[in-house]
Amino acid sequence: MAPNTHSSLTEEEYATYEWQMWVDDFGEAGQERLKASSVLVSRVGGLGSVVAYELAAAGVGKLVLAHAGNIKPSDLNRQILMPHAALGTLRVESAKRRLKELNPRIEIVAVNENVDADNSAGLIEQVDLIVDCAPMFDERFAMNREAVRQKKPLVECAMYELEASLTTIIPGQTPCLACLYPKVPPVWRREFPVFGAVSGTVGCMAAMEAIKVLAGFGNPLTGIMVTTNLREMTFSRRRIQRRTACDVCGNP
Amino acid sequence: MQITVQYEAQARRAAGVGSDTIEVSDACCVNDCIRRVADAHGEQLRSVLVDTNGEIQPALLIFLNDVQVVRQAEGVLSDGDTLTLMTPISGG
Repeated sequence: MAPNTHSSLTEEEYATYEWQMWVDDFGEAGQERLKASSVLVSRVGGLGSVVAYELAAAGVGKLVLAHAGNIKPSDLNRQILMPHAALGTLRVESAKRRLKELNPRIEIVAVNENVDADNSAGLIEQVDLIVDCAPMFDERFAMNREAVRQKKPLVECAMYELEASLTTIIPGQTPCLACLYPKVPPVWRREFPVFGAVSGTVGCMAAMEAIKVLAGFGNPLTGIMVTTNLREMTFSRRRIQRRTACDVCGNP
Repeated sequence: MQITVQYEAQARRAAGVGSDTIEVSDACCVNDCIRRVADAHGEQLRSVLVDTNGEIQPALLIFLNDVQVVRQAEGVLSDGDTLTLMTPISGG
């Protein structure tokens, strides 16, 4: 097989992505949409490493990776873009190098910063979609506020111990993060129990959400939160609600 | 009537169990039910479910069966319902 005459895909790209283009409602048109798409992955830790890896493998045209700081030994049980040999070096540079080894065809922008209220507008302006993998709620709220303002879809994924949650926010259509949590949750702490297999599981699911939204197929988790408990291997789908008078998405 | 209360994330850890089955009166609402399990389990669970004024924590995610209960509504319960209490998580 070869790309059709008007395809934006090269023959090499066509050969690389051929097996996923066999998904009927994705196809060559879906692959072209991924190639033309851009995603911000906020932090490339246990969760974001896997998100970025799967999006790079799938052929998303541009990834912006935002994560401050150097690789520490305690990162290595889950942050799969951070090899032992890179201890002490910048996380985003290691991530960029590993992703380029996997897929040299895509553009990767490495930003040695965590997302905050000051840089969120500029980072989100560069992309079509955000995957939120931040470990602190203030970062998540900064991204949510700016995603709503710029009307960009935001895949919200998080984990704790052997549990995880996932939903896809479409500004104006679904609850936003501030609808769910009107105040900063008081019990969350930055250090949390984590196996790489748990963050990796929800990372793959979040990447699939991003691919579906960007390529326009399947049924993204809009207005639905999936939670999973890998201790029991259970999954739940629950309906979430927009909150009256949300001060971010202004739901009337 | 009988209600199953299911705990997720830090609420599960604080409760020390995945769920409780409790007997409540027909007039019991969602918030009553939360206060009831907070009282039964002690301070560790209480601190993640209710604030120092005894109000339900605003960031607590509450689901009645498979639908989120919004803060303004004091959901009415029926026999056999499952109430899920989930503390917000942000691990990345």
